[in-house]
Amino acid sequence: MKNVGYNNSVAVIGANSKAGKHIATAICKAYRVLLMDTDAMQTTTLANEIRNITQSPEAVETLTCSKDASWEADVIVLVVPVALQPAIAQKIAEVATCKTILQIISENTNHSSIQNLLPYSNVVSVTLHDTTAIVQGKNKVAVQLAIHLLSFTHWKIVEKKAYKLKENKQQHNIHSYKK
Amino acid sequence: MFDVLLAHIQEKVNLSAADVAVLKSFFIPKKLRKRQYVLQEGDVCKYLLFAEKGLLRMYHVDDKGTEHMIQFAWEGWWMADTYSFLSGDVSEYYIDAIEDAELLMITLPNFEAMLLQLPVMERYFRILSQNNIISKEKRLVNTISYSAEEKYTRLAAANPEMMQRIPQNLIASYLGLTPETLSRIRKKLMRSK
Repeated sequence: MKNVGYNNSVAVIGANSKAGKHIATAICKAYRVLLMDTDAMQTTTLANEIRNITQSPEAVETLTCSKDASWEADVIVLVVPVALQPAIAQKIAEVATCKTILQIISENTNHSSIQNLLPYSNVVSVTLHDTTAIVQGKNKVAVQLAIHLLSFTHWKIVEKKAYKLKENKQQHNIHSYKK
Repeated sequence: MFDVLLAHIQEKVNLSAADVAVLKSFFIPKKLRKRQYVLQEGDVCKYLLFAEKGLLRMYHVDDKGTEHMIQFAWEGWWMADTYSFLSGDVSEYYIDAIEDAELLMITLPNFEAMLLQLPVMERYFRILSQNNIISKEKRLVNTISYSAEEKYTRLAAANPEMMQRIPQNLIASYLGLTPETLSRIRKKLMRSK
């Protein structure tokens, strides 16, 4: 059983959402996927779809607990409504230390970063628009990992870098990546 | 989640509550299912592993596909391909789980940062290094100086838990014996009891 779960397990929390399904099915050939959502029947259907894509029973697992999924994962993708994200962040904090977390946000949604709730994790925010995903985070390695993961999806990836000007005004530098 | 590690450290050095909070921030908690890998030959060993729960093995696979057990790690044991971990060169070993496991993993940059922030951990790892050298010397003597039967009986006496948990074919490999030889030795020892 070579390469099974070898340092590349991705937990998709909120796997039954539209974006969750797309991310899970897009990355499943490159990463082992841990699907987590409250509706176990829907998650099982998605898992079977992924097994058909990968032709590998070990490529996907279903879980009903966000903490267990995050504990087993190397990377965590949080695709739940923003109102639920802080509660989940608190729940997974102790098992997410030093791990990369993609905080998925729909466009035009008021949100705050969950980084302060996960001080020892590397949170990368990903704002989804129709065709683009805007990626932003403080940790370069985590941002690169997020970009690699999202490169399997249909979104065009735009990295938004924040830096401070001399007069302490925030300015954004946009880098886009060709698919 | 950190119970076994903290108990293991506190046996050797003292950590304050503040030290414990800092220590925890450097480790990646990771659940591993039986037969999953944390290291494969040809990859760099990126993590020093501590087993909070479960059982791991580190082994080399020769050109004929035969597995040679190097080390086992269960609750309270550290494991890594030390050379690959420290040098960044690729590893010749595999590490996988024999039982479902809960690990605490630390990268080399975090390991170095932890030692800078918590100097008491330098002493802890110095003690571990001494113990490791002694156990490697003992294993070398065991390998070159004793008969197959003596190798087995000495290992069983020193590590009764290992005999209970680890499949006999893996113990045979660890001792450099064939499974058939180990089976004959075990039958002989049973008859003589």
